[in-house]
Amino acid sequence: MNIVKEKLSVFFILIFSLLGATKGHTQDLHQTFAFANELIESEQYERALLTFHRVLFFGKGSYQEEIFHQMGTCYYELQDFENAARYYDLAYFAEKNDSIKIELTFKKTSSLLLNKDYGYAQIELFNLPDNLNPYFSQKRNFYEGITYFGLGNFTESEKKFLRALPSGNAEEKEEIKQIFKNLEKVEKISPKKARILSMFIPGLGQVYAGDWRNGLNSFLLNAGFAVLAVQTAFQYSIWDVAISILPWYQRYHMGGYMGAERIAYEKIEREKGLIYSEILEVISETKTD
Amino acid sequence: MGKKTFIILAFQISLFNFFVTAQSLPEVKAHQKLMVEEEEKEEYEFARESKNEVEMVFSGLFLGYKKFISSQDGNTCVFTPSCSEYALMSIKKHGIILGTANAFDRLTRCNGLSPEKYRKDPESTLMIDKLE
Repeated sequence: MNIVKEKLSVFFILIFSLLGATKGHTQDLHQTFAFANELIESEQYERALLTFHRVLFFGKGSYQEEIFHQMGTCYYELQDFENAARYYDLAYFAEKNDSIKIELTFKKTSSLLLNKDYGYAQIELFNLPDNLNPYFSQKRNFYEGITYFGLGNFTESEKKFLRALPSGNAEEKEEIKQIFKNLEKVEKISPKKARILSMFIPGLGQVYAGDWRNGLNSFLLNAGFAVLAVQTAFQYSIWDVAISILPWYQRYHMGGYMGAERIAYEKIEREKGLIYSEILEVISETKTD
Repeated sequence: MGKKTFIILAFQISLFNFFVTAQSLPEVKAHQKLMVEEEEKEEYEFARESKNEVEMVFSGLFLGYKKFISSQDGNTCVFTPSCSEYALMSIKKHGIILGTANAFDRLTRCNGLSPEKYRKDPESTLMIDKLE
C-alpha cells in the first residue's frame, strides 16, 4: 500500500512540476520581452540586446516584428550602424503596416549614412514609393540631400535640402543657397595644382592649399639642402653632391610635393565637412514638429 | 470623400508644408557631424614625460625632428612604431649607450627585405616591431 502511495505521489509531483514548468516558460518569455523593453527605456542597450536574443531564440518566430525593430534601435544607439541597418532590414520584412515600413526604411537609410555607405543609402531611398505623403516626402528630401552630398553631387543635394524645408522658411532657404555658393570656392582647390606648384617651388603648393606653416617649413628645408649642395659642389665636386646631398634633397623634395597634394585633399574634405555641418545647422534651426 | 473632409485635409497638408519639418531635431543633429573631418594630431605622450635632463634633451630633439623634418618626408619608415619613436623609447628604457645601439640596430633593419619576420599592422600595413 505504501509503495502505491509513494508511486502516486511521485507521479503527481512530476505532472504538477511539468505543468508548472510549461506555464512558467510562457510567462518567462513574455516577461523577458517586457524586461528588454524596460532596459531600452533605461538606456541599457547592451543588456537589452542580450535579452532580445534570448527571446528570439526561445520564441521561435514570435515577437519578430517588435524585436527586430527594437534590436535595430539598440544597435543604432550603440553606434553599431552596420548591425542596426541589418536589423532594421529584418524588421522591414517582418512588418505589415506600410507607414511603419516607410519609417523603417528611413531608419535603415540613416544607419547606412552614419556608416558612410552613401551608395547603399541611395538604393534604399530609391525603394520608397513615389506617392509619399508630404511628411514622408519631406523626410525623403532630407535624407536624399545628405546622400547626394556624401556622393559629391552638390547640385542635386542643394535641390533636395531646399525641398526638405517647409515653404515658410524663405530666409533659411536663402541661407542654404549662400552656403552652397561657398562650396564652389572649395571645389576650385586642385590637389594636382598644389602638387605641381610644389614641384617647381617647394612649399608653394602648401601655401596654395592654405597651409603657410608647412609651406615655409618645406621651403626652408629644401633651400637648406640646395645651399648645402652648392657649397659641396664648390668645395669638393659634383660627384660628392650626387652621392651625399642629392638623395636627401630628392627625399624631402618628393615628400614636399606629395605632402602638398595630401594637404590640399584634406583641406577640401575639411571644408566640405564644415559646409555640410553648416547646412544641417540651418535645417535644425527651422521650425520642427 | 466629402467636400468638407477634402477641405480639412487640404488645409492640414498646406499647413504642414508651410510650418513643420518632417525631420526631427535629434535626427538632424545625429547626422550633423557625419562629414566633419577632425584634424589628426600626433601627441607623442611618451616623449613629453622625462625623468632626467638627458631624456629631456633627446625628447626635445625627437619632437623637433618630428615637427620640422619628419613632417616633410614621405612614408619611408617600414615599421610601426617608426625608427625615431623606437630610438627615443629605447634610450629612455636602456640608457644612452644601449639605447643608441638598439636604435642603430633598428635602422639597419628598416628596409623591408625580410617581411616574413614581422607581423603587419592591418590599419597602416606597416611591420610591427615593438621595443622589448
